[in-house]
Amino acid sequence: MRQISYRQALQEALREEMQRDDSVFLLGEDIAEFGGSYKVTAGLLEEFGPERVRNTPISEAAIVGAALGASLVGMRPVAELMYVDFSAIAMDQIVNQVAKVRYMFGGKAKASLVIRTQGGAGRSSAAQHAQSLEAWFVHIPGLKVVQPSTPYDAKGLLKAAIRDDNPVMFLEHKLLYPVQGPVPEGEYLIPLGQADVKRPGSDITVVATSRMVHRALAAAETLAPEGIDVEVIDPRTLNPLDEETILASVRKTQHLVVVYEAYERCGIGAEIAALVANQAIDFLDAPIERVAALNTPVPFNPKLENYVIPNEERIIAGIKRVLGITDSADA
Amino acid sequence: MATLIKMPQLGQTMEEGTIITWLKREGEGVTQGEPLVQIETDKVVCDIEASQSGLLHSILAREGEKVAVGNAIAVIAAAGETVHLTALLGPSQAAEVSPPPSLVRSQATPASDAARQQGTNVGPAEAREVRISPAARKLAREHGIALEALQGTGPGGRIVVDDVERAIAAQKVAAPQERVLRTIPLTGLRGTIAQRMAQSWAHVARVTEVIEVDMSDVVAWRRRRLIVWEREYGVHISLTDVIAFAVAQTLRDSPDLNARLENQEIKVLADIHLGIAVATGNGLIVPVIRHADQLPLWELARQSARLAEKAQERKLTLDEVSGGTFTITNLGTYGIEIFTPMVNYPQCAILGVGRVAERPVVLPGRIEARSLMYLSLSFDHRITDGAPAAMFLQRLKERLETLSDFPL
Amino acid sequence: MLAIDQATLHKLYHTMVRIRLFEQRIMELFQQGRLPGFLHVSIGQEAVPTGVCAHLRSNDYISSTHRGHGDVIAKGARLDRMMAELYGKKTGYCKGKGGSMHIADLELGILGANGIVGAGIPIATGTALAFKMRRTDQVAVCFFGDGGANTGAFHEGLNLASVWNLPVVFVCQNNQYAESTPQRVHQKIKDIAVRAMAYDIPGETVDGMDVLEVYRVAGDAVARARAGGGPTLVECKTYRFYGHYVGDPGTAYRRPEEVEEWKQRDPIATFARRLLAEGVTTAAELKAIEEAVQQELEAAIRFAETSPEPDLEDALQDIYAS
Repeated sequence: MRQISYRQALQEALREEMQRDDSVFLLGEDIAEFGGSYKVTAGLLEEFGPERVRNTPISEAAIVGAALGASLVGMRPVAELMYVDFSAIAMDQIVNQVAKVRYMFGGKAKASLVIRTQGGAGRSSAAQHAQSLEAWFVHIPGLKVVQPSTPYDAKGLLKAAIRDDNPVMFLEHKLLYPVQGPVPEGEYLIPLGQADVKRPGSDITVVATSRMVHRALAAAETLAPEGIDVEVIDPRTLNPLDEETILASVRKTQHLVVVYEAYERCGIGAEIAALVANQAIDFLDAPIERVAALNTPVPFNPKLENYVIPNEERIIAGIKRVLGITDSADA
Repeated sequence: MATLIKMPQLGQTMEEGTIITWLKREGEGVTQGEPLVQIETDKVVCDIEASQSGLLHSILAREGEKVAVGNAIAVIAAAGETVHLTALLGPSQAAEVSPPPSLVRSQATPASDAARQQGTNVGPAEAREVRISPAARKLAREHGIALEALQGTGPGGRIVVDDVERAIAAQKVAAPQERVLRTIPLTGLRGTIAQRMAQSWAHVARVTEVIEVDMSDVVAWRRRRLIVWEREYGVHISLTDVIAFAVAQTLRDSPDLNARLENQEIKVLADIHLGIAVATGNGLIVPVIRHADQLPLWELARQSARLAEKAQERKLTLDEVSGGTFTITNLGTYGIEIFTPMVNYPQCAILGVGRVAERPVVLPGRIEARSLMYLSLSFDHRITDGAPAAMFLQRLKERLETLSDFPL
Repeated sequence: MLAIDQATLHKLYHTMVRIRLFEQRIMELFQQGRLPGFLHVSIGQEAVPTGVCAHLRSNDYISSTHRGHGDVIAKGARLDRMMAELYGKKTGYCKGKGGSMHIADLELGILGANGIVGAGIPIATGTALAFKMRRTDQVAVCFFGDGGANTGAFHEGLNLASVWNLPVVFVCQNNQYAESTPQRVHQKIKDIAVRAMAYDIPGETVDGMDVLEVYRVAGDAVARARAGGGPTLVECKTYRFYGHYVGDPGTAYRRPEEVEEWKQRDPIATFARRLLAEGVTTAAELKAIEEAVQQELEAAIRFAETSPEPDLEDALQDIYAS
């Protein structure tokens, strides 16, 4: 199968959906000639023209609000917020308008928009450009939240998100854009709300999101020769969450670690831990562990940044703690 | 369409039942008519069946829990169906059921830990500081492993599944002589019998008197009439039926034996409800024939046969095993001559019937082979005395030996 | 005024009366404890939505504010379904789940009243964008207040509408107060229309108590948008005769003399006098209009009161499109 990058996979999704349905259009900062600050929309202006690939002023509230206003009369805009950190400026439109308009209007409105954005640390982009804020959106009823980790997932999920009549927060990761992965030719969609077992295993369940999926997989490979068989589950969609896949895994392995790049406190790991503690308590043979970013703004210095966000060592340590394995090094 | 399974009314006086064993787990598929759960009332254990096919969506009452008649104990729903429990249950019961339903028996929840980085955790209060994982706790409870005896090898020194499994294995190894062929829990009917026997033993001042009865005439009479009875009444009349008939009539003459001790009062009862013990695969059960003294022999035999069949099929209702005033138990078919039956508390007396055997008997001027049988009457000496009991036996013997009151 | 036909003049009067009587009646109902939540009535401001919406077709769209009953009535909302919504009934425009501040009907071209000040501005802008992309001649109108003119959403929305030349008319209902704060305290400018200059779009200030003035200026703005001429900012100076919400007497921050002055300029009374003076209509005709509206209102209340409440399960419906 051909290998393409996460970025290319997203671009293909946008291109295919815009070809398929001319109510799909893009708006965002620097997405036209510049091709987007992470180059996801490169080439789309040339193909679809300035009507459908619209550079906006720096106006996150207007970008989201306008996308909503257009979707209410039948368009399918894909708005880009350059950094998830900037979603804070648009929060009224996202939380109070986009998420609620269907409900408040008694089911009549269709907020058929996708808000694409990216987050994550690892490039010394510092505190205001490196966050993972998915928990904000998962918390709000009315939004769907997707966080793909691979090119294959990114393409299939973005296509599905664009076709979904609900508003979707589509959260990419800045360090995943160049990552290559197998993506088939031809049309495919990945349904929202479906998790993926990225690596089956029998000793412990590790639920991981976004870039942390790759770190969890690396940890699993490191641990395999030690006889520890790690099952890695990627939820892919955070809301609606595929609860049954996670619960079935925990019933099997009886151990759970959740790995996510957001600040630990009240992140998606807290929700998953609560879910499992409530519905699979009898199966747990150890406490649940969250491996997440420390509760601090992301530092600029690369060493500090690497210290703060979860890395393979911390994931391994978490797994071993849950399994009750003490290395002579940790004792 | 989600439906509620409710605690049924198994007998007129039943107010609550106890959940004994769930035969299905939450999330398991069930088919209509399949037994779902075993419940017990005072005396009767029975299975509740699934009223429709689907999934056992929620179990609302735990094993060992008492549930009022009419309250919901489970929900059956179609696969994938969303069930709104509070809407289904209605406000009064919804308040008692804590969502979401789960099979977990009541446990105190662990207090939040301070030293989380080291993976230490304060365990539930009821476990006296034992640190153990939920899965390990469940396993230990299921196998009767004492938690205090376990060494924990899990995170923070807590006991984990591995530790419990090792203890279970060790238990098996430690007592090689004790190979258990079968383990029968002291629940259900067996549990009830154990409880009742203990009660009888503890309270009844038991005395047993034995009398010999010449059953030759009864045997001959019965042999002559058996076919006729079957043709005329469609019923097979056994020796026990004949004896029961005689007992019922004799109790009219000896009402002191048809009595009950209750709240410091001896009640001599007007109505005679005769219990006839039946040995079933699960244990001894005593269905009751009401107003046995007012029934003709063939009717008594008919009821006795019907009740015995129901007893074997475990289909007796609560009313059919309640209200007895006197009990008969027959071990004669097993070759027993004389025995000391336990009084069926809180009744006054119980008659044990022994084997009918050909024995030599001294009659005037000769020795003859006669059909002899021993009747062993146990009675509660708090309620009546040896002489009245003896007189009852004498009257009974005379009735049987002279066939008086019998349809000839 | 003679350039406007009689039917239109009657319609303008009828709409203002509908708004006025509706708002007065719900104030009474609210004070009787029959309506849950908050109410923000627009009594005194009727001329603004009336004059603007008279130029709109059913497939033009408006967005509105928390004080939006007048706007949605002028756009064609039915009184009975509005009333049912205020009662929280299942038959309301939003099935009882939106309430006063979120009344909406997309089929009537109403993008919703909005509980967040200024939030409708980017939304109306986006709707206008869709019209332009689809090359229809539909127009979006955005109602907001003097308070809303200070929000980031106002500036982002006007800027985007102007740079993309979108068919949207921004109508500022300047009632001199943002909640309890007078205009002179919350902004340095006197006329909000001057902000149009910042976005290089036309800006007009209008006497918002004169329905014909509003009608005239709005007509130009709507026509401009429809013809592809882009957005206009129309500021209507108006006044609300009551407090910010029902229950707020307004006396903590407004002098009674000021209120009286504005009441003398009641848009309905002044319009009626003009119509009569110019012989366009008779007192009897005006009375007939009022009585018809009263009957419509009473029927609306009956409808609302006899309508069912939503079921508890409805709370979990309509969060997502399936």
